[in-house]
Amino acid sequence: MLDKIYELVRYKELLLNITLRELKVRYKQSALGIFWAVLQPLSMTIIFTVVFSRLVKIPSDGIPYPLFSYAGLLPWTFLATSLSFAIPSLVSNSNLLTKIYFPREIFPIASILAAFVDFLIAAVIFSAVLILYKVRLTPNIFYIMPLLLIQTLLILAVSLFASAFNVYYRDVKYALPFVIQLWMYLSPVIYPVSSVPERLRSIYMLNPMASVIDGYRRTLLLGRPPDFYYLGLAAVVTLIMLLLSYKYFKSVETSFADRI
Amino acid sequence: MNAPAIELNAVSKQYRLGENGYRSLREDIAELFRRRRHEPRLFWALRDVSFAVDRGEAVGIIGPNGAGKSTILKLLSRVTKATSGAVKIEGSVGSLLELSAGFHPELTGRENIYLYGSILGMKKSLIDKKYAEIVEFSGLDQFIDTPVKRYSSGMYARLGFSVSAHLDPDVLLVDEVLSVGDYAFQDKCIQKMKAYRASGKTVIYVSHNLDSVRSLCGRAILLKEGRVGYDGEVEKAICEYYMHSSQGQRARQDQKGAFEILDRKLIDSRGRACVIADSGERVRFELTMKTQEEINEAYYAVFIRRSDGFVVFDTSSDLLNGIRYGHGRAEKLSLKYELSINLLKGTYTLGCNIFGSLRDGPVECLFYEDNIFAFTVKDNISHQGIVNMNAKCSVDAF
Repeated sequence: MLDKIYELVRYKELLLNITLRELKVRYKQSALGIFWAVLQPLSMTIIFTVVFSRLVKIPSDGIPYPLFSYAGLLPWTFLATSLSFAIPSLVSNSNLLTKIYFPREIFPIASILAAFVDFLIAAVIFSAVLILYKVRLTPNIFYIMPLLLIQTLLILAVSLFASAFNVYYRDVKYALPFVIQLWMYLSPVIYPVSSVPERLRSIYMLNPMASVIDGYRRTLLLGRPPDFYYLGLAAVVTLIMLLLSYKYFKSVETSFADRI
Repeated sequence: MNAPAIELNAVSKQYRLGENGYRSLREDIAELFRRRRHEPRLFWALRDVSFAVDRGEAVGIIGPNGAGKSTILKLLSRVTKATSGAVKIEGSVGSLLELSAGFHPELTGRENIYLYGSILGMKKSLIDKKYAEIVEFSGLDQFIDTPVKRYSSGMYARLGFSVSAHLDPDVLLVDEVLSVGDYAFQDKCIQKMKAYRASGKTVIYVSHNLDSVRSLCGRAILLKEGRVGYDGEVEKAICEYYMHSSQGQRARQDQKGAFEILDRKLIDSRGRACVIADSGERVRFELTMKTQEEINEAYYAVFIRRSDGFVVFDTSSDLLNGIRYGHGRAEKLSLKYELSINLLKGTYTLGCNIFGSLRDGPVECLFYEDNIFAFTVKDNISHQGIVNMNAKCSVDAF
């Protein structure tokens, strides 16, 4: 397995170029260009704020609702964008896959990296919002590093498995938008973790995104450290998922060209 | 002696036919509960293929569609894995692809050169160094900052080839690149590949363009239905290929059943059955047959076709002797033709027509076979044209 990872490192230039291609292509011939990356979570935040804090009153742990939902939507958009580009990536690059050899995980990883760039741009806007709301930052803000790492590894785990599975069963393509939506409702994007009944909490927190989003809110908006118990759980769940899905990916990789 | 650059040892490759992995989950789940399993239809693309290629060799792989040529390239480029057997390659492998599969239509020519180069495994520093050369080779200098979606298909292919032509692998795999591009560009490509070969690299060349195989390769492998049909001299492989393909789809017409063919021979000037003839050599064609009915007014025609189908020569006993023959029922006949092969280098086929009248009916074609023999003409001089006119030339000052 280590030699597979080493091989991937040797192909880092290709990974970079494929990522650049994804980025360049995504916004070519679109008038707003990269601004779309900002527009998506921003408009969602506005809609959520109107619906969930004006029409339906949803608790937000005392945080102004726009801030509360933006902090959830920003990482959520990163996940959703990554998955919706990474999962079909092998199939949509089938013309390359059937002709040239290189580590196949380059395609899903490049999609995730491109989505990460979008995420960074949207994060700049978020920091402007933080300043606007005069949020006081504490050293706990550095906890977003491990949070981001866990989130990215989780995205990688899901992408590797689902993109390979999609080569064999195109059902994935149809299930994807629905599953992403379902997952969002199962994660604390619209509502806080505190509104999940205590007795369901231990099951609810098996979803690593729950700890991750909760962690972002605690560290950025409340100036507190994340919940270490649940964060540890999220890390373990994520690593197990990643290991299994990378193994699966590598074991079916050689027949991609025949089965695509 | 060095280890061979490429070694295939009893390699077989099986594919599943039909809805090849493109099923939906529902069908697979239904499958689990079905009593009798639905057996996938299997297809052997390659069966027990073994060969070795030495460093510096250029080997052509020829054969009809579906013989397994592309599968071999896919195995060599590691895109797919053999079902059984071992594929061993020494050194780096580069693929020279038929089309610029790696191009993205929205990106410019320049951006695509870098993208495609890295897909093929080139380092950025190498592309930087070769960039000017690549653009010059493609001849697309003017259009290099235009998105390639505005390119014509020929321009597309040229850019793709130009990038891959500047790869520098130990083993170069070439798949039917010459089907695109104009004549001048094709020639450029052939020259480029020859230069590769000259520099001691190993080249595996798959093509239907037999003339380019002839000019590029020192050895050819003929694949027939997934097996090695012939491995060796290029000319022999090409002749085998012609003979093989003619057996399957020989344009043939003898439904009248007037003749039964007993034997056929093509013999060179030294009395050997020939596949390769020297330009200018005299060869004999013999056809032994038995009549099934009484035939009147019979005459016999032969014709020679160039590999592109052009008839270079066509004659008949009627024209040569002015005789029409009458045969009784169950008569054994031997038809002999002597011909001087005043042809230029290339592969030719010999066909035969027999005309005659059955039961006092009109004279009609009783037998027709387009491709009785294939043979190759060898010539030490690369003349241009159709016929060998046995030219002599002198220049005298006086």
